[in-house]
Amino acid sequence: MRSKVAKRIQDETPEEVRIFVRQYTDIVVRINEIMETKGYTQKDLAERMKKKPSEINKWLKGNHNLTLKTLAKLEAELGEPIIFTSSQIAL
Amino acid sequence: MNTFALEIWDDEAAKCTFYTVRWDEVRENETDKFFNKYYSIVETKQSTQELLSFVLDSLGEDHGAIDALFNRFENEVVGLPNKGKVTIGEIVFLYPNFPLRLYALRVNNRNDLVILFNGGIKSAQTNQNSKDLNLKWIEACQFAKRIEKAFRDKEIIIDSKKRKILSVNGDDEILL
Repeated sequence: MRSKVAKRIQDETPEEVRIFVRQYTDIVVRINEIMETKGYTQKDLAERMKKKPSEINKWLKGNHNLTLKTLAKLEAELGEPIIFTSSQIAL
Repeated sequence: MNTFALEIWDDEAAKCTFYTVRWDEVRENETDKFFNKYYSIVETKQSTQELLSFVLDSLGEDHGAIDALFNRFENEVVGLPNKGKVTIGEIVFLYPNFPLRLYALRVNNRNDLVILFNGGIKSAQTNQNSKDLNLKWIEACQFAKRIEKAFRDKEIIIDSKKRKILSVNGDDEILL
């Protein structure tokens, strides 16, 4: 069962809103996963990127908009793809 | 503390079952009150949709209530009859300046069983200073403490396979 209130709001939610929330959250989770796999703390990453730990924390805790530029910087430092495009998946 | 019911809010998602609480003799549960209230306010309507999608899609279907998505705060509960520490989670879509906060308890620290309470708008630097939020936080702590006690005293148990909370005395309705 699902709460009737939740169902009603979900039914009225534009698809683009749900896509945005899911994709944005997937990106945050993916960054956390890569950091965990590589054994990086937020402090390590901040040092490597010459940023303040508080800035990295903002990226990962949603206090800073993750732009494509930010993601590119993170991807370059982490050495793993964060976003997969359809052409990459086809390969 | 008055009696309240612990009831399923959503058990259709693949990765997590959500429970909520409802004061005895009250029709609407606390989580529905929260979503109804902020969905009806023009300024917070879209944020409410985003938060609901975060709960049902991102936590429920995609990831479960994993650490990266579930902020937890251990706090000394003050102003309550039974003092002590309680760890309450705060569900918030991780986007800059997101205004809404929904309080929650991850049962036994599991990613797949979460009890949702009420919440509000973060209007000040801290939750304690956010007029709307502080009362809901104190109330969430009260619920959480009672629920944690019920687990400790084995009034309620977890059915891991079914991702459900069961009353030990076999009652369908869980009243605490």
